[in-house]
Amino acid sequence: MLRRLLLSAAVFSAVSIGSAAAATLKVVAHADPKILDPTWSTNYISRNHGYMIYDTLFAEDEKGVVRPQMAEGYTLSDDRLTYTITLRDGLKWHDGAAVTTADVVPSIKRWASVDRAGRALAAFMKDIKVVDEKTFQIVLNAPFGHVIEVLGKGDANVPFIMPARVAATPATEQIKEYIGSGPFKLALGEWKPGERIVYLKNEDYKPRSEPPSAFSGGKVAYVDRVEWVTMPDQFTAVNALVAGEVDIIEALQPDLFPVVESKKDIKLFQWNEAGLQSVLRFNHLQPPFNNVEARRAVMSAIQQDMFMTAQHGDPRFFRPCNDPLGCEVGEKGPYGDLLLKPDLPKAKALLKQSGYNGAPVAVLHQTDLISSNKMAPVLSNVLTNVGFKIDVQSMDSQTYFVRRNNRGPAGNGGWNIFFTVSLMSNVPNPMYNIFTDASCEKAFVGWMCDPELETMRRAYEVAGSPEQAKRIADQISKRIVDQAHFVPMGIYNVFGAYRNDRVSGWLKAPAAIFWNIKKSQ
Amino acid sequence: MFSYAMRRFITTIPVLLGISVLVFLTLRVSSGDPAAILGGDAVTTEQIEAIRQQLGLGEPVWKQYLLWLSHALRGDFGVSYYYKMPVTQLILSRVEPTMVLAVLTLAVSILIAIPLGTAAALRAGSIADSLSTAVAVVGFSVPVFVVGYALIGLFSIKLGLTPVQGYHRLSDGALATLASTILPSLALATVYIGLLTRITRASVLEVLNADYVRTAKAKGLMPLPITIKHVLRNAAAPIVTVVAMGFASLISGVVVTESVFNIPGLGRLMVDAVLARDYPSVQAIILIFTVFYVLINLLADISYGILDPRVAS
Repeated sequence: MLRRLLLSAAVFSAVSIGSAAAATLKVVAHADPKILDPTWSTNYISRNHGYMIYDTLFAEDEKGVVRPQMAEGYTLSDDRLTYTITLRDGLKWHDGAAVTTADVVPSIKRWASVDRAGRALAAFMKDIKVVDEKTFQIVLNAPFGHVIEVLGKGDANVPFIMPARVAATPATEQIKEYIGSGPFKLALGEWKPGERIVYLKNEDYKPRSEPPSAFSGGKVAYVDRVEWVTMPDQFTAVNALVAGEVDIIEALQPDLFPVVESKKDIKLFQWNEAGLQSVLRFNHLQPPFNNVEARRAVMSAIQQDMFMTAQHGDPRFFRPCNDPLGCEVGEKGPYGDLLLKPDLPKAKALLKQSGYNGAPVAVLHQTDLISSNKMAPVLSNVLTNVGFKIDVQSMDSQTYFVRRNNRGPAGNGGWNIFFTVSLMSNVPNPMYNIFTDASCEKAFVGWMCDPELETMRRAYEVAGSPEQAKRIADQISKRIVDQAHFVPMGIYNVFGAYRNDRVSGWLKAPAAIFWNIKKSQ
Repeated sequence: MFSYAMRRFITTIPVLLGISVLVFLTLRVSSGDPAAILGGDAVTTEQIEAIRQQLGLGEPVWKQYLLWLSHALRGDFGVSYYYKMPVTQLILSRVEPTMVLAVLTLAVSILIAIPLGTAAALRAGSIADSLSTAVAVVGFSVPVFVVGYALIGLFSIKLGLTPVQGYHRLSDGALATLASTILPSLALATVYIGLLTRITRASVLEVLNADYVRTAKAKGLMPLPITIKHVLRNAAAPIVTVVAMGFASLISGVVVTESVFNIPGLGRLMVDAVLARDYPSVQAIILIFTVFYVLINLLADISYGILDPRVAS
C-alpha cells in the first residue's frame, strides 16, 4: 500500500514538474491581460504586453535617458524644425516582413491621437512623412524640445511601432492582429483569458549591440517561452513560487515580504527603483475644495509617514517627499516641514478662512488595490481633527474608477477626495505627469483649473535646453504647492520576487520586462 | 415520464425570461461603467463616451435588452467587452475545470459521507456516532479556504506530492487532471461530507424504525442486504436532493476554491466578469447557471420516480 502511494506521489510530482519546461519562464503577472492593444488602453498590463511583442523608435535607459532603439539615429535641422530619423538594419515583423517607415508613420499618428504627450507633439507637428524605406521626417511648425523624449516615452501609452495595416485601425477601436517586431512573439492560440498568455522567443529579432538598460539596449530573449500566469490569490502565488511551479511574481504585496524573505531560494527584487508616487486628488469643481484655503488646510494637516506606514508597513519600502514633481533618493523635497510634520493650528485657521460650511466631504475609498486602499480611513481621522466632516465611501476599485469621473456634487454621486498613484518615471516631467494638467474641463479627474500653471506647462514644452526645462519644472512645482492643487503623499517601491536558484538577469525598469532573463536548466 | 419532464421543462421558460430581465436591469442600474473600466487609469471623459458608443451602451435599456434577447435566442450571447471573443467560446473554455472539480468533489463526498452517515445511524448514540457528528460539524464549519491552504501546506509544500495550483486539462491526460484537482476537491468535499453525513444519518435512522425493516430482520435477512436493499434505497430521496443541489451549487459557487487553487473555472469567470462589468459575459453565465439549476432539479425529480415507484405513479 505504502509503495503504491509513493509511486502515485512520484507520478503526481512528475506531472507538475513536467509542465514547467526548463526554457520556459513562468511569471505571475500583476493582472490578467485582457486588452492587447497598448495604444488603445492605458492599463499597465496592456503596456507590459506591448513591451513583449513590440519595439519603440527610442527608449529610456535605467537612468531615464532616451536612447535610439529601432532608430539608428536622427538629425535635427538648424532651424530645429525638422527631425530626420533613420531606422536601423535588420528590423523584421514577426511574420518575416521588413519593418519600414511606412509602418512607423501611421503608428506614430495613431499613438499621437490618444496619448497626452503624443498630443503635445501632434500640436507642434506640421507633417510626418516617409523619405525612403528607412528614413522619415517629422516637420514641426514651431520648435518643440521634446520630440525624441516623447518618442522614447516609457510609460503608457508607449509609442509602440506596429505594422501599417494594424496601425491603420482607428485609435478609438482595438487592433485585431498582434504582430510586432519585439523580442517575443505572441502565441495567440495558447492565450487562455483569465488563465495565461504565452510569448515565444522571436528568433529573428536582431538586438542592439549595447548592453541592455531598462527599455533600451540589446533586448536578448534567453528563454524560449514566457508564460504570464494569472493568479488572483497572492498567497497561492507565493506557495507556487516556493514549490517551484513559477519562477517570478511580478509584484508582491508588502504583507507577504516576510514570508518570501525567509526562503533562501527566493529573493525580493525592486525592479522599479524609482518607485511610485501616491497622490491625494481634490475635486476642484465642487466645494469645499474649489477653495484654495480648504485645500491648503488639508495640506497643512498631513504627515506622509502616517499614511505610508498604514499602507506599506515597513519603512524600508517607502520614503517621504514633499515635492509634487518627486525627489531623488535620499531627498525629502524643497518645502521644509510641509507634509513631513503636520501643523494642525495652521490647518484649522485655514479651514476657518475658507468658509467651510460643515458639509460632508466624500472621500472615495477603493478597497482592493494595494497601492492606496488603506489611506482613506487614515485621512478621515486626520481631517476630522482639523474640523472637516468626513464621509468615507468604500467601494471596489472598478466602481471607484467610474465614480471618480462624476463631476457632480458629492451628494449626487460625485466626490471630494480620492487617492491614486503614478509611476515616478512620469512624475518629474510635467508633460507626462497627468496630475499637473490644469486645463480645467479637459484635465485629469479633479479638473484642476489654473491658466497660469498651463502657461508654465506650455513653456516647458518649448524649453530650449534641459536646464531651462528644469527651471520651469521647479516653477510648476512651486505653483502646485502654493495653490495646493493636489497633495503628494510620498514615494513607495514595488517589489517582485523570483527564484534566485535558477533565474538571473531580471532588469531594472519602470515596468516589469522579461528579456535578458536567463533560466538555468 | 417524458411528458412530465417536458411539462416541467416548458414551465422553466418564463423563469429564464424573468431571470434574464432581472440580470439585465440589475447590471444596468448597479454602479460601475464598463467603458470607464476598459479605458484604464488615465482615460478621459471623451474617451469613455466614445467607448460607450462602441459598446452600444448609448441605446435605451429596453432596446439593448431586445437586441440581446434576439441574439441569445439564436445561441449568440455576444462578444465579451474585454477579451473580444464570443462569450460562448469563453464560457466553454471554463466549463471543463469546474465540471471535473464538481464531479470529483461529489464522488469523494458520496464515497465517504454515505458509509459514514449510515454507520452512524446503525450505531446511533454510540461513541462512533458522536465522532461522526463531530467530523460533520467540523467539515461544514471550517472555511474551505482554510482547509485548502492547510492541504497545500501539507501535500504540496511539505511532501511535494501534488501541484500547488493550476489546472491540467483532460487532454493533458487524466492523471495530470487528477493531480491538479485532488486537493481542491478534498477541500471542497469537507463541506459536502459534513452535510451529506448528517442527512444520510437522519434519513437512515428514520427508515430503520420502519415496519418493513423490522419484517426483513424477522425474516432472518443479513444486516448488509437489509441496509443496502431496504434501508438505503428508501432513505435515498433526501440524499439525492442534497447531492443534486450540491452539484448545482458546486458548478456556480466554487469561486473561493478556484481562487485558492488557481483553477480557471466558471466561478472565477463569473467574478471577473462582474468586477469588470462585462455585461455580455455576466448575462450569459447567469442564464446558464439558471438553466443548469432547473435541469438538475428536473433530474432529481425524475430520479425520485426511479427510486420510489409510488412517486412515478
